[in-house]
Amino acid sequence: MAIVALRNLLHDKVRFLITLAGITVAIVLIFLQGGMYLGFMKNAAGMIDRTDADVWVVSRNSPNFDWSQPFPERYVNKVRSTPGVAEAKTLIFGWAFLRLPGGGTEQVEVIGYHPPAEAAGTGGSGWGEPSDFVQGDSRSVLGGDNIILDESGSRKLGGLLVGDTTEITGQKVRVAGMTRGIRSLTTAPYIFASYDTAKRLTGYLGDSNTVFILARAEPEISARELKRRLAERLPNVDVLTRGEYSRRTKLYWTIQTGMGFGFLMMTFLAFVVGLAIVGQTVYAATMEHLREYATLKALGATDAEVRTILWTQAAASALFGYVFGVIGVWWVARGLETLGLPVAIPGWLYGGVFCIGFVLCLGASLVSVRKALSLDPAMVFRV
Amino acid sequence: MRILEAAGIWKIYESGVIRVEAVRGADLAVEAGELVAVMGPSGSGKTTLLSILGAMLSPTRGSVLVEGEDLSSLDAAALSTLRRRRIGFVFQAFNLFGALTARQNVELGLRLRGWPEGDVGPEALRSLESVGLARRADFLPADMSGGEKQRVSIARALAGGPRFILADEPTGALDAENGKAVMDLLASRARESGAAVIVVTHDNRVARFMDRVVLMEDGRLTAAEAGRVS
Repeated sequence: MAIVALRNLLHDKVRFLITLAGITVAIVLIFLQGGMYLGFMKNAAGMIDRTDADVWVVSRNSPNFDWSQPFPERYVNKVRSTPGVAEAKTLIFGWAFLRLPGGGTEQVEVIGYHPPAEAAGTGGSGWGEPSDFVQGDSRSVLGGDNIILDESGSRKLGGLLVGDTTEITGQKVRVAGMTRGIRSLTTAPYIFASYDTAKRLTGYLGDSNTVFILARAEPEISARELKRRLAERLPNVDVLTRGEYSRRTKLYWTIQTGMGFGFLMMTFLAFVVGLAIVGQTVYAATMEHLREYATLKALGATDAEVRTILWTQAAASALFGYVFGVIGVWWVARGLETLGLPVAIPGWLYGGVFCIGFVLCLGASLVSVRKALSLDPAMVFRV
Repeated sequence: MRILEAAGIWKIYESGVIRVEAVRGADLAVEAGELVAVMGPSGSGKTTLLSILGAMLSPTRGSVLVEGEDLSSLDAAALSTLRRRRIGFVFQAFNLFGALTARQNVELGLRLRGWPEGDVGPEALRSLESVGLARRADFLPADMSGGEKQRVSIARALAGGPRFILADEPTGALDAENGKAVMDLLASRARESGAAVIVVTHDNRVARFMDRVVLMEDGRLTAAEAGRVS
C-alpha cells in the first residue's frame, strides 16, 4: 500500500508542493518560537548556568538574576565557615549608565567578579567571570578602570572596541577585553569589571554590601545538603542550588512577564495554521482520489490498509516538510542572530518539533481518513 | 460446480414515504467457467444486483452463496477478504489508479489477493502479456487508450486466479471495435482460467460472447437464450 500512497502523493506535484510549503512554514514557525524562547531563557539564566557554584546566596525573594538586591557582604564569612563549604566568593551585580561615544547614555548591567589567579581564556567561568573571549581574558579587568564588553553589547554601545575609553556613572573606564555570546535578557548589555570597580561604578549598592555569594561544596557534600546547612545559618536571604536559581529566573520571565504564554500562543497558532493548510490540501487530494479509495475497498482492501495509505502520505509529508523546515530554520535563525535575537535549538527540540510535525500531519489527515473509510465501495459501479 | 447462487434477492430502499424496490425476488445461479450476461435498460436494478453479488451491498431479503458460503453470515472484514481472494472486478470507467503504471495496477490487485511479494512482479507481467499489453506495462493510464485501460482492468481482475469476475458495462466507455476486442479478450481469458463471469450490460453485442443471458426489468430477472437478445 505504501507505493499507492507515495505515488499518489507525488503524482500531483503542485498540490504536493503546496502541502510541503504549508508544513515547512509551520515547522519553521514552531522551531523559531521554541528556539527563540529557549534562546531568551538561556540568556536569562546564562550568568547562573555558566558558573560552577553549587549554591547561590541571593537577596530574600530575588525573582531572577537581573532583579537581585544587595545584602551584607559579611555573610560570606558565615558561608565560608559553614562545614561542607569548599570555597565561596562574592559577586556584584548592579545597574549603571554608560556614556556613548557619540553622546547620550545607555543603561548597562555591571557585573563585578574576583579575577582568577590565572586567566580563564576561553574556558569556564566558575565564579561569574566572563568566558569565550574574542580579545583579552578574564584577568583583563585588573588595573582599576578596565571593563570587558560582549560583541553584542559593543554594537549597542556605539561600537566600543578594545582600547576605547568612556564613562560609567561619570567614572572613566577603558575597554580591555571582548567576549562573544554573553547577553542579558533585558535590553541592557552586560559590562564586566573587577569586584571593587563594579561596586564603584554602580554606586548605589553600598560599600559593605554584596549581591550574590557563590559557594562550592566539599566533594562528599551534595548541593542540596549544602543548601540546607547554609539556609539554617542565613535566615535573612534565600539560599538556592544553582539549578533552583536558574529555574526560578526562567520561571519569572516565562510566567510573570507573560513571555512564555506569548511564545506558547505563537507556537499554537503556527501549529493551527500548519494544520489548516495541510488538512485542506490532504482533504482536497483525498476528495480527488475518492473513486480510487472506493475501488480499493471494492477490491477488498481493509480499513487498515486504506488508513495506512493516508497515514503514509501524512507521514511522508511530515518528513519532507521537516527536512525543509530544518534547512529553513537554520537560515532564518542565522539572520535573527545577526539582528541580536537569540535562537537556541538544542537536540531535543529537533526531536520535539519532529514529533509535533508528525502529530500535525496525522491530525490533518484524520478528516480524510474518516471520509475514505466511510465510502460505499458500491460507488465504483456509478459512473 | 456452482460458484454463485442468489435466491429470492430483494433490495428495497426506503426514505420517509418513498419506497424503491430496486431488486424484486431475483434468482441466479452461475456454474464454474460459465459466462452470464445480465441485460436490461438503465434503472432496471442491474447495478444494485451486481453490488449484492459482489458482496458490497446486503440484500433486504434473500440469500447469496459463494461456493456454498452464505454472505449474510460474514462480517465486513470477512466480506472484504472474500472480495479480494475470490472476485475480480471490471468496471465501466476502468477504475485504474492514475498514479500507478499498468504493471503496478495489476501488482496492487495481486498484493490484495495476498500473493507472495516475490511472485507479484512476474505474475503481473504474465497477466499483462495475456491481454497483449506487456510492452505497455510501464505506461500510466493517462498515456493509454480506453481499450488499453480496459485490458489492464481485465488483467488486474484475472491476475491471481479469482473464482469469478463481475464486469459492469465493460464496453460502456469503448467504441464498437474496442468493445468487441475487450469482450473477446474477457471471454477467452475467463474460459482459459476457468473463472465464471457475470457481465452487467445494456449492450446487446455482448450477448454473443456469453453462454447465457438473463434479462432484468423493473428489478426482476427473466431467462433468455444467448445470442437471441435483440
